[in-house]
Amino acid sequence: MNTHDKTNEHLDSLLGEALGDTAVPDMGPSVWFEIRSRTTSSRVGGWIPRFAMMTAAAACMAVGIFAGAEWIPGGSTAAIWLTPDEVVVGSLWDETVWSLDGLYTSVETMDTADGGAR
Amino acid sequence: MNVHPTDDDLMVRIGYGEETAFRLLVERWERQVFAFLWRMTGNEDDARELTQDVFVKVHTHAGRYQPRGIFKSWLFRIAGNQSRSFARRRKIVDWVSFDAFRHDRELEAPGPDAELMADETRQQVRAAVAKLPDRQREALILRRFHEMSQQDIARIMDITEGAVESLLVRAMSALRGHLIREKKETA
Repeated sequence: MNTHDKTNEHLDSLLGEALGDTAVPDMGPSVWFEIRSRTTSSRVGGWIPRFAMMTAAAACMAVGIFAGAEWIPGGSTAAIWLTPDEVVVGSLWDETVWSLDGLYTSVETMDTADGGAR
Repeated sequence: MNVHPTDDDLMVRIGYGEETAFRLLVERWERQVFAFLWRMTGNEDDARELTQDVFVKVHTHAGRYQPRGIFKSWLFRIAGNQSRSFARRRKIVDWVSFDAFRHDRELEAPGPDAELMADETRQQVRAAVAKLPDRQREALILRRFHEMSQQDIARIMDITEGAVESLLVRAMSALRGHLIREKKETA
């Protein structure tokens, strides 16, 4: 055995002591549970559940519109079984916009360009 | 059902979404992967975190795995990639835990001189390994501690067997150089 081989052998033994199996710290408990939670959450966040949630949201919206829910913009006006009067009463529109009285009132109180009231 | 399914069997079952198979595979390999990543990073917490990342990747790609009896190489290829991308993120390899380990030991009741010297030598060797370029360190660790042939390492690192041999020779030579310099400085 030449010097080079001896040096390598010594180096190899040093490596074994520093990084060998007995030097490796104990990993502690298995990482399985962390891995399972990560792989499960990635499945939950996948495109299939997202698609299902979007479908459910769209269905809720459709039901809301059909039922005339007022919190949906235009929802009450789209309710198909209401009479036109009921639609107006239940709508979000400001009725004064369509009344002539309301129109005159707003014209009278409108400021002119020079700052004075008409 | 096979009592001792092969890694390939388990991978096929994982591809079909079988959680029991995945758990079996994780428990079979996690300690080896952790040991490899600890040797690569020098830090227990990082090694544990990266071990999880490796198996999450295994799970993600299980459907595309080709069962050709080379699971170990495939697994260590993922582990090697993870450790290299981790090193790139961190820029420097964190060997702080080794220092902490050393300090912890020093706080304990002093042992015999021989034990202290052996401990110091272990620190020097670890520090010298940490100074090696990533690919040299990876080839050396796979060959010396994970019973990988040059052919396996070539497959894992996606290089030729000749390149593996060259990496190993350069790693040993650099390691020797680091240790000699270290010894001269401390003398």
